[in-house]
Amino acid sequence: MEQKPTRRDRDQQRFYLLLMISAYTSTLGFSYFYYVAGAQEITYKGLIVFLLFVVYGVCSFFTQKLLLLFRLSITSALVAFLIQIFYTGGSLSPAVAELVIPPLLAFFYRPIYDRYIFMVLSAFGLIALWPLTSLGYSQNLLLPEYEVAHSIIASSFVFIIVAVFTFLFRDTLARKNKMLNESMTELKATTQKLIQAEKMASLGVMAAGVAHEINNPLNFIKGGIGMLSKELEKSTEMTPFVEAIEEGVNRATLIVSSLGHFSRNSESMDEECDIHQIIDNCLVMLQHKLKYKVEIKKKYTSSKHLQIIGNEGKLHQAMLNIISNAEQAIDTKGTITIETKAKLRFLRVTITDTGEGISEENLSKISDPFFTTKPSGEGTGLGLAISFGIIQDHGGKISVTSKPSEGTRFNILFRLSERFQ
Amino acid sequence: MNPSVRNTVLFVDDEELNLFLFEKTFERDFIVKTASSGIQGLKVLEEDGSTVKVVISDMRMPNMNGLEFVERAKKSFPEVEYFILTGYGYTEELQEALKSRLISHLFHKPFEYKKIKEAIGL
Repeated sequence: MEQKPTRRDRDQQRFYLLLMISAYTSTLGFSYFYYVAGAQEITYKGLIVFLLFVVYGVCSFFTQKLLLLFRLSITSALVAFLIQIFYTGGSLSPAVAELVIPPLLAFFYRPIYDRYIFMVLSAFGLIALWPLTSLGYSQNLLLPEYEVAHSIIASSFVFIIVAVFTFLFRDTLARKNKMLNESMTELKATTQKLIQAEKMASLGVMAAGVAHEINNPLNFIKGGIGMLSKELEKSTEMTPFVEAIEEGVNRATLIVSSLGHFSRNSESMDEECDIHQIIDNCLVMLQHKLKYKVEIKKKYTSSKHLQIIGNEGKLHQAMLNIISNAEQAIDTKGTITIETKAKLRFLRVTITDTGEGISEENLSKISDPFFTTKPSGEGTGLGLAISFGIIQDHGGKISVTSKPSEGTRFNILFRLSERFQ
Repeated sequence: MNPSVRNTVLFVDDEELNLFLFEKTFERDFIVKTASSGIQGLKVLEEDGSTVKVVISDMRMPNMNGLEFVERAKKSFPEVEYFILTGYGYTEELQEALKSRLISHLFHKPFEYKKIKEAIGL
């Protein structure tokens, strides 16, 4: 899948880098302290461990595999630590705990995401520190006047390390939770969209089937009346009846063909779509809702070659949702104005209704999936979200302005096909 | 028009009524031959292939659909012009066929006398 490092990878890299830096500072710093304190034996051991880490560090530049190197370092540091305890009774610096605990973490808790695990293990290290140091002091390797300073420096060092690590990784848990929440929301939205798409698809299959079945009988009627009309032309009495049948067939044909456009179930994005035709089809489909309620004013541009490249079925769906929303915004009587204007390589479609309008607060949410002001069960809140998505998929831009109780205006900007220019 | 100069059109559809209506609608303009399936259509072409100038076929038919029929017919009779008359709308298949010039034009059911007459231009 994707090759670029994820946030998780970066976190791990950062963690191991910090381990390296703290390993350098602790071994070098404590070696210097023992040198000042006159405990040469410990100084040398500290420097040897430092060199060991330098080698790891240098290797890491070539291998980029910090993880593997730290696994190696754990093993060697652990072995060194156990040998020290065996021979000197734990006289080595308490900083050894720091050298051991983080690599232990690195070994057992590879993805360090939970700072609490880190804190608990560090606390264990601190507890283990005291008996070991006091055991070391009894061996008289460190001069008594340095013992207090040693204890303070060593323990504050461990504290600082724990504090730094905890601070730097403090938000990983919160981040993880947030990511989980986000993906849950996304999953919910995707599921709903899938259900909706599935619904539309099966509806489409059905509509296409119905269209086909109806088109044959329509063909019979149209063919039949076509022949009959030639015969009945002579009798003016019969003309209205012939016209009625013809009008009926034409209207039914228009409805069925509009239905066919909505049900075109293809994924191709290279169809030539005529936006005027699409809007007209939508108006046919919404005719039963618009009829006695809404006056439609069409102000189509007379420019030629207004094809948009995309998916015709989906554009139908997008425009239907928007016009349908405009219709629903109108309570009893109103107007929907549909205007198109071509400018350079763009086509602007403006759909203005005289409906109840959208409050400023809601305006920013209308493209959110599941946002609806309709009572539950009456709207999914997906219609406009789907429309916005489809228009954006076609490289279009959509903006909405609204004034409560005055109406809403949808502004859609499509890029025209260049094939005809 | 003198019958001897009239062109022949083959119409293929699985609905008998459609065949009847098509024949009656266009009988004054062309000699109309009909077939109720792709197989029959091919047979008609083999018998009078030389006279048939235009083939119009329904899309959805049992056994062999319109495009399959046209594809097979075009192999043996490439000089004939082929059209599809469909009640099923515009599908990707048909779009492809138009693009590759397998068919010259697409008509939708219910058919319009004028459109078909103009398009086939006989």
